[in-house]
Amino acid sequence: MVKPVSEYRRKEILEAALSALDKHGLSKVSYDLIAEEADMSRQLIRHYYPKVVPLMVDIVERITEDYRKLIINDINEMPSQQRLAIMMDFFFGQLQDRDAPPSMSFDSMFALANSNEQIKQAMFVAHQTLSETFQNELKICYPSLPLKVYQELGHQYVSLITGHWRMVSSLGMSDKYTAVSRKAMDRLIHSYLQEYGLEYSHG
Amino acid sequence: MVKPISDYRRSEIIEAAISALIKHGLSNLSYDLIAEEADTTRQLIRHYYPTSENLMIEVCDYLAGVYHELLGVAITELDQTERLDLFLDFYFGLLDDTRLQKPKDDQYYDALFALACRSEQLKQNLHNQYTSLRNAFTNEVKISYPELQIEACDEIAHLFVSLMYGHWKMVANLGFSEKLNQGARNGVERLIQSYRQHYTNPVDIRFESEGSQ
Repeated sequence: MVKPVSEYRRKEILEAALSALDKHGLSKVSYDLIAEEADMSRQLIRHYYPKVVPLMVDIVERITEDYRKLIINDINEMPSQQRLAIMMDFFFGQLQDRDAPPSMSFDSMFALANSNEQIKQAMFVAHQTLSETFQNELKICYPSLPLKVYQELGHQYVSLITGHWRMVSSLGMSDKYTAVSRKAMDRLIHSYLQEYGLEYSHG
Repeated sequence: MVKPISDYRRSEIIEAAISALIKHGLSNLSYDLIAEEADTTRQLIRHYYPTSENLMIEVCDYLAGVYHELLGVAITELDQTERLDLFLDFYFGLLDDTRLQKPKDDQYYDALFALACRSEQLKQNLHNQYTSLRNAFTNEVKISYPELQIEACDEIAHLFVSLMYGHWKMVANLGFSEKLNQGARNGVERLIQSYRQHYTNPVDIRFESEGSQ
């Protein structure tokens, strides 16, 4: 079946809204700025998204979907050790041919999540998905750890990614810490493996 | 010297701004709502804070001051070696002592971070606030583990601030379980131990893993 035109439009609008958010910050973003970015009329955007909240929810879902695609399409065929490493490299911006995930727009989303339950829910799902995907990869590499360890590492992973990018891209702390944060994930995994008498294997 | 009345007014306005922020959210916040909360006039607030940027910067300083007071008191009472533990327990919400609870201020900080995208001064202010937390932590790690190089302590401090900040985003803002407090704190503890094992050796875990692929 031919895809309806609305699907393309919505995608374009989300794309434009994301880059408008990154460029101008949440408090300045408006239908006009998104329209300018999308090269569409303000009215057309209003037509697809009469209200701001559904637009924001779709943006968060779009970002979540991008993460999922990365795992499913791009790295599915690789050996498990490499997949785990790539999941860490990607979110700490260490993959050469890819940009780090959009972070400024997530800053804005956290602020919106406080006043809107739907956005909060979407943000919860986004981070939960990220943590669970990471836990799954860990389990494939190191199947014999207790459940609690996967959960702790999953939580440390999403927390460190979130906090690290707030410090570096939102507050302008030195980018030299990006490698430090990435390496910290290896240190953490290693620390748990050591505790349970396992070896850190290198794929 | 008698405190000038403006000092009282200013702190009343800041407190009102914070509670208005919580009630109405950042995108709806206005001088009118703050005036209503402070039970004063919009004009008076404008008088003390002609721009919303001035006001937000002061909210930022006010929040930093709360931490300073809380930890300052607790830390001077303690033995040096116990301080690092207290620091970690405090920032990961693991202290039973009700006088020493980490302020539940995550929502204010989100608002400030969102605003920092367009206010260079506010961004600078937040940057300084987190830098001084990082420096304080670097110090505490160095005192507890004098054998660690200062560069290692500095890296650990970055990881502490990032992990702690991210942790509260998940728990306080998005509703992840508070049971994760302990796990996040464990992470910092494990990182410190890892640095004690590995810092001087440049062939660290990551490079080894790259080399063998």
